[in-house]
Amino acid sequence: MPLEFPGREDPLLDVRDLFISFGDNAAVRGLDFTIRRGETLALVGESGCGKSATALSLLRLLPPAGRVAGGSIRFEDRDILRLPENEMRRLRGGAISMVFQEPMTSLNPVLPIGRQITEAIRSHERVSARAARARAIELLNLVRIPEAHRRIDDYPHTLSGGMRQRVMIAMAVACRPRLLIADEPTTALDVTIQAQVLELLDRLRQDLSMGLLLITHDLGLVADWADRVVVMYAGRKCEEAPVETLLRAPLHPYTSGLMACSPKLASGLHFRQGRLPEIGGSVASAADVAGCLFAPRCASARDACHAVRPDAKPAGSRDHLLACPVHAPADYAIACC
Amino acid sequence: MKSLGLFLRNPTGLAGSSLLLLVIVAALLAPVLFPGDPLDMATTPFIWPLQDPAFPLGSDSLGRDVLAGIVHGARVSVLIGFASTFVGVVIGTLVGACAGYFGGRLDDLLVRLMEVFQTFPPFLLIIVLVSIAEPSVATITAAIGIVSWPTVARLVRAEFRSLRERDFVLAARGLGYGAARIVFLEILPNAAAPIIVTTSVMVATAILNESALSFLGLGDPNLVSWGSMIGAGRDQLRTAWYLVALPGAALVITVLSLNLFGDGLNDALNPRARGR
Amino acid sequence: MARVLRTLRRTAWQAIPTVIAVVVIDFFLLRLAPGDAADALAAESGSATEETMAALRAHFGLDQPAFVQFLSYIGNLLHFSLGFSPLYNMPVSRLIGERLPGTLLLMATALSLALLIGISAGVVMSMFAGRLTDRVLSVIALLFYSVPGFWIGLMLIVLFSVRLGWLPSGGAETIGAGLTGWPWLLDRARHLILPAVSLALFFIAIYARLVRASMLEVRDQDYVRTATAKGLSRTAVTLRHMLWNALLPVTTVAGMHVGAILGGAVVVETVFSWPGLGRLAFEAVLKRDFSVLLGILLLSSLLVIAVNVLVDLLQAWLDPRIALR
Repeated sequence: MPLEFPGREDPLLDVRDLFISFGDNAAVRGLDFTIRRGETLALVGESGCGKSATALSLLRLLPPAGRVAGGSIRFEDRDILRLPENEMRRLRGGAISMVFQEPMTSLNPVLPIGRQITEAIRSHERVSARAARARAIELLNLVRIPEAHRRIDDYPHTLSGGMRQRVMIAMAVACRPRLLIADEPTTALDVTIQAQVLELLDRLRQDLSMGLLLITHDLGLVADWADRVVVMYAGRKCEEAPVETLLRAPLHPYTSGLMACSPKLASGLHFRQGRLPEIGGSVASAADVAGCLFAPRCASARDACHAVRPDAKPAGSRDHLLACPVHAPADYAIACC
Repeated sequence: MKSLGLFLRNPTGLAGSSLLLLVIVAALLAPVLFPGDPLDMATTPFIWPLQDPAFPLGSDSLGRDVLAGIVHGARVSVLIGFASTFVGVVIGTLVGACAGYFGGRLDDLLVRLMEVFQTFPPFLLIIVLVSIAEPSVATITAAIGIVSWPTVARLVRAEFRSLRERDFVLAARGLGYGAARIVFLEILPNAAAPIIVTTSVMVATAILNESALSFLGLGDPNLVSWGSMIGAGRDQLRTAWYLVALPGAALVITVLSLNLFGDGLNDALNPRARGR
Repeated sequence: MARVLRTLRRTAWQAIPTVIAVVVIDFFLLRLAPGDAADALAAESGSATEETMAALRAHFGLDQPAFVQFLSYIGNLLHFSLGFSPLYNMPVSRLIGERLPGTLLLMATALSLALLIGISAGVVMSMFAGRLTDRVLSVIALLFYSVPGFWIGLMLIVLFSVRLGWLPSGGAETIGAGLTGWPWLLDRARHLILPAVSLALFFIAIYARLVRASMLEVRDQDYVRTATAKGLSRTAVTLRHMLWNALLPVTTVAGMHVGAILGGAVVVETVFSWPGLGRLAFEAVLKRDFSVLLGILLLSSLLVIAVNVLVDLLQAWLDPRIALR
């Protein structure tokens, strides 16, 4: 549940018209979204839709081959893309933190986990080594690592995948960030552990009043833990809505298709026996398309869809955005020419 | 071959090959360019380079032509360098292939053997072997070959161990091919790339070893070699240091060309490995 | 700590067969060598009657069957005796003992220089990979890698001793100057620097190239991205997270280099008249004193084995994942 805050309307993070490219390939083509304090926004889409690139760009961590080609990213009124590097460094791990997908390789194998947590603390705050270590033990307790005072000196290879991810989360929240980005935090973990990790993230979000950006391709997770959802396709937003609205009445054909494919949701919403439906075609078909990026795979595409690329506009209510004139309700703000 | 094209367009590979070609051609043409024995006295001693057009690189303490010495010296270095590497590569490949392919007790034994040979400081062992057997081109070649095979063997063993489990090998075994055929016709061609790169480095090392040997007086006494020229010139270091500088420069250029060649090969055959 | 001790026990145990093999080969080579101590002594003294030779052989036990000689050789080794050198007229072990410290000093200095300069260069090259600094340093590294130690030693002498007169051209210290304290240290340092640099150049190139490649590989690892995402400074990420992991291959290779450095020391010590094992080996070769030569070979091999054990320990300490094997 999103928390109520005075001034809740001021967004924590405001991304406008973001363009990211890797060499000649466009990974993100004009994405907008906002996150408010205390809420969990899920960024959903299949592999290759640009969600991870978006996440990395928020902390300016894109690999050398990638660059932000346009748009703006504002965090609490500061323009991320224009910050000098040393201020960016202060933000990373401090006000904005990130948890990555692969806990097995995301921790340095030759440093004890306590050391990796304390260095996160000490690079942002002036505390003594002893105080930092005490904080690290507290954090390990917070993320429910058993016998934290003993395990603090263990090396990552002695921990299981789920525990390593908890350590990563402990590192990420060590300096009480206001925004936590979780890039597919449970994809590499066993299903039984996934729920525990997400429950941890949600609890931390409440306790620390953080905004949480949850990036995932798993609609089941979205259903359980998100407040609002942005559905991405080929680097653009196709639909955005509060989670109940999206699950109950998805408008965009891609969103409906995704939900029909998801085993967990499908069994609840659509009674089917036999094969799970699939969305024909592949993301690659969006490469050189002039109009709507989904049009090549869309069953209800019209001529106008192939010519003009639709923007996301309010569809029925202010917080439900849709980028599809075809499936829009009667009061859709049609202005695609 | 795509790799060949990559190699030829790579500046390091190109530079290396050109220089190397120059050295080899000089070595081959030595008797044509400078007939006669370079150890014969040719003119007055201690002529500095660029003084006498007939002797562009000057003459040494016994009046011998430095340029002739350098060009003839190339023959010795190139000959011993390639021959000893050939010996080392042949032995090393055989041992490494057997160890890597058959595994088990044979592998343990051969790995032990490699370890023992690699325990001896290479140059010291070469010195010992050559002094026991009396210096000559044959003994030097054998000694350097004996010392260098473990490097190749290790590499070949590692390659074979990883290739052994691959599908095409299993397929060959399923067809009933004998071990020898599998080793030579199936696996070896696939393991060739790193072996070839290592070979160029080994030739460079062999040439350096040979020059150090002849510098110390352990070279073939009947032949001029760059090392022996440097050794002879050492006594006149204060007055006629060009006698040391010039053969050394020839050495550096040759070894450098081999290293450039090897780097170029490595980039062409293994583009990921060198970073960006 | 327990982890390190366990590795020590395992490695030392595995080294024993190697030691035995080295000793056997050494003895075998000694037997292969033309002539023996009796011949050498006879050549020295100039007389060689049948009776003298037979008496000498009996005295040195050289007329015993091979196996018996082998056993007495082993026996001698266990008493730290490597035989007797008729040419120097003293036990080989004492001869080696006198010269060993000089070589160890030279090797340690050269290796330290090589590691320090090589690793720093490698880090710099990886930080500027593909750009001008990297290319220039790579060319220099390749040059260092292609230069023979004895030649560059001679050239350095020409430049720094003959032309500039800044540094001495040989020896380990100024004999007979009677220096003590700081001036003595300085004098020794001045004598040490050229030989150490000549010996180190080749290895500087190796470590620079190795570290560069290793750092570039480590740079793409996930944990480096995590470290940056935590807000660590670029220095902290490079030095603490990347370098430590990148150094592991260097330790593997450095162990193997002890043998190569010993070989290089032979020529460098000869060029600089440095009083060490290398020059002793050269002299032994000239005079065909095989007992000294093979004593040096044996000792160096044992040194290499010892260093390999140390390197194993170092790796176990550096990488906590290793000891679990």
